[in-house]
Amino acid sequence: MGSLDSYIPIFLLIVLGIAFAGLSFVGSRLLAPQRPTAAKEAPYECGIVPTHEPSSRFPVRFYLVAMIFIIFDIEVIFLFPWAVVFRQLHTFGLVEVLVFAAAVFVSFVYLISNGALDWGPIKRIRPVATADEVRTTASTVRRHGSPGASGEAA
Amino acid sequence: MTIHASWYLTLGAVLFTIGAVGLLVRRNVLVMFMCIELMLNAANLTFVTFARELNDTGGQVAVFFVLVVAAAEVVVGLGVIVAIFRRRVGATADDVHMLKG
Amino acid sequence: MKENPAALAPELALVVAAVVGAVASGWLPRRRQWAVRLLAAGACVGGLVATALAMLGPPERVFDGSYAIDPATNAARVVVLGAALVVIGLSAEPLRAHPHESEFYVLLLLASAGAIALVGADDLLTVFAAYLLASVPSYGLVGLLRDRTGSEASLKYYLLGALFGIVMLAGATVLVGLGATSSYPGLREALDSAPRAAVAFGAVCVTAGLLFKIGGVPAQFWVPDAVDGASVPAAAFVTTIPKIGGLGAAFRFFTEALPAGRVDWALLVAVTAACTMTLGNFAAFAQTRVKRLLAYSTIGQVGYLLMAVAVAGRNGLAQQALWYYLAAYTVTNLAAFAVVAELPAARTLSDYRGLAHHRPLLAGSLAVSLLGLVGTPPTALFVGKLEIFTAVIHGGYTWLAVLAILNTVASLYYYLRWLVPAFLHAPSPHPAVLSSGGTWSAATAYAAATATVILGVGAAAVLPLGAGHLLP
Repeated sequence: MGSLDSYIPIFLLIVLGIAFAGLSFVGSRLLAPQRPTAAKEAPYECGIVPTHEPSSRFPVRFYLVAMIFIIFDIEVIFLFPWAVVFRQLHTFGLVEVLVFAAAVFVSFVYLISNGALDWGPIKRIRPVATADEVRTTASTVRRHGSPGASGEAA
Repeated sequence: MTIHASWYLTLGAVLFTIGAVGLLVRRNVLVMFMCIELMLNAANLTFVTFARELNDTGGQVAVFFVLVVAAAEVVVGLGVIVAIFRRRVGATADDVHMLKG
Repeated sequence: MKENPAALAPELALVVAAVVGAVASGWLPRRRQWAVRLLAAGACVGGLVATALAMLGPPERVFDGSYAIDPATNAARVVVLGAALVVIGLSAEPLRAHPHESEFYVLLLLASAGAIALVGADDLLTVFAAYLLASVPSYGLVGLLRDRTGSEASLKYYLLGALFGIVMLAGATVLVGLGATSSYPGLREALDSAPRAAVAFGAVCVTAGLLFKIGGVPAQFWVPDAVDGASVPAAAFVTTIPKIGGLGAAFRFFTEALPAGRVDWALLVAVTAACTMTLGNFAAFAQTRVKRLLAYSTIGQVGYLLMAVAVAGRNGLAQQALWYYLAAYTVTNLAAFAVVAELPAARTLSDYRGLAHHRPLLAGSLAVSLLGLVGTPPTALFVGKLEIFTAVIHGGYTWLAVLAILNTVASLYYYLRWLVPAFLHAPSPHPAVLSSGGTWSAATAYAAATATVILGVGAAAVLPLGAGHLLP
């Protein structure tokens, strides 16, 4: 059986970290004045209560293009160091890079064959959330689409 | 004037901690991704510092590894997010609550 | 420098088949995707043949010492490729004509190659690359069906995997900075004079990443959610193949990269093993859904496997015990998942009421696999447990062995909660719950259950295959 001497610094660090976080919570709970009102606890302090989430700024398709871009981004990263030493590596290096480029290209072929670059009208899978018929503070402050939102409003 | 390596290492540790704390406390999945990137780049900085200190290019090669890692992880992460986005309104980690027990 | 791509034939077979499958998947009609399944199975069989040939040759390090081909790597190849074949068998029906059927097999092949590479890697950076090759396709596998629970499971698996991956990378930077090299033999020499606290920090971080792959405490959170949310084939995959890679990598990292006596990693792993098996077994008590129960059961099993890692390098028994137990656990666990795949409508323990009445053979397979997981003779895990307990007691961790025996006895309770309704209770009024998934999953269940018994009876012949020294 050995000793745990070497782990003592790590252990101390964990204890210190937990103690710091815990003490901060306890300290703020003890020291802070607590006079809650309904207005303070609302997520928005002023303005009208939002009826539904703002639509996201970019269509999902942009993410897809970003992902495709990253494939080639990475390919170029590996070509740079190879280009520096390709005279020393001779044929071996050339074959390696060709295999690598072919493997990267296969992912592109896969994307094309699955229609990742077919631009066209976007099919909307989920309908846009609309406001409830009965609007109370309790129902509209909650996020729409979250389970139980309308149930708790009653 | 040269800057001592320990400053770089400290900066790396600070970036790593910011990323780790962000990953644990933020609820927006996209911000969580950014925190992952921050931690990966902290590791990059450490590798480069060691490469300079030890006069060894191995550390710089490791940076290439990490860049690929970052790309691969972010692509998969974005894929998962897109799959979730298509089904629900927002993308916060609190919305992910169907599996429990 | 030794650059012989033929030395990596089994891994290359998987990767090449995956690339070909990815291209083919774009052009194959949905009903003809069985061609990719055939290709994947062919790659696994080809890999097994190549492994058999590699076993005849001497152990060697290839690619500038970054990859070791020794008995451990060969054992990993056999177990991973065999497991991949079983997963392909049990996924034939659940995925038939699914829009992403080909992608499932492609990702399966890539993740299997990653699991093998984890075991073979003899360099911190190679281990990290292999970690990714094993992880990234797994996230995809879990979320492949694109239903709500699948994508949620995938997100959880991914976030935890990314976090632990970076922690592992941070540990690797520290160790590389201390040792000025990333190869295991080099680190072992250089770390002998490095500050102990820093070495311990690096080792703990690298272990944390591997523990995520293994599904051990404190990185076990993903296991129940990923298994419950994923399709049955993906669940069968993530509970077996990544664990093989992670455990093999941990074994090699501790015995080859860390200098003896510098940090007491053995006690750390022993405590982790104790926590893992206890948490897994006790959390399984309250489960009513079969996939969640199996998920916690695998956490418990991983605890026993970590025991063998804790005594790594102390005696020759540990390595042999680890690989035998891994092979036995893999086939037994997959047999249980094959039964679950065969009954797609049965999700809770009570759905299995009267299974023995409807499907006696399938109920028999379930009994063999679940009692096998407890470690009942003559199944393979009985021999596996004996081997591991012996290795642990010889290694000086008697308390751990005692705890493991107590855990084993306790685990009998929740396996019986599943078996008793299946055998003793009257059949359910809704026989549709027990409708069959198809011939392939049933055949896989029977075959895997039989293999469990054969592996147990023929243990004497199989055990030495996992032995043999790692490269110094």
